Amino acid sequence: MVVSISPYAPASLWGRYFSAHYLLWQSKRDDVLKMTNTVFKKADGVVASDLGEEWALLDLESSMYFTLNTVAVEVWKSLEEQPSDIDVLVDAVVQKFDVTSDQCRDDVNSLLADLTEAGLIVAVTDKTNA
Amino acid sequence: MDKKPYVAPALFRNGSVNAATHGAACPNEVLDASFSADTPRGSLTCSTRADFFS
Repeated sequence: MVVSISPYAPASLWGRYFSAHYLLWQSKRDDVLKMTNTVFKKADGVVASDLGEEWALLDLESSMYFTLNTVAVEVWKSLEEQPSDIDVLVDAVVQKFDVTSDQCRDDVNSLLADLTEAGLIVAVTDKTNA
Repeated sequence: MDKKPYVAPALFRNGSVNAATHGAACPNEVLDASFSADTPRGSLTCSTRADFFS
């Protein structure tokens, strides 16, 4: 369903319009992450460079560049080795850093959402497609 | 094996690499004038060096 709104609508209506779209976007983003069989893989056309503790990522299509902090680098390394689900990625972090899987799961989830939104990784719902 | 201290994993968006390297592809050009700190990169103007063709 497409909902249009007049440009002359009062500000309060515009506020509700944008809030509804934000909530819809957020729920879609969360839905992807909650899929238990979601596997993430590195997007095509993304190159990584080791800068020491941090890594730089360059999206060759958009020419946008990003950096990952030291913990995010471990997640990225795992994704470079093979498409992985959230459990594998959390394990990779837990093995290297002083944190439990329960403590870092939400953080890894949030990182995956950011990487997906930036187009650096793609979510594959069926593992056979990974 | 000692584990490293944990910080929340983070992705930082640094912008367009084209914008960051703006002007770098013109090594034979020089800035026209002295520009003060915080001059936007897009506001810099360049000229071809006078001795480039000599």
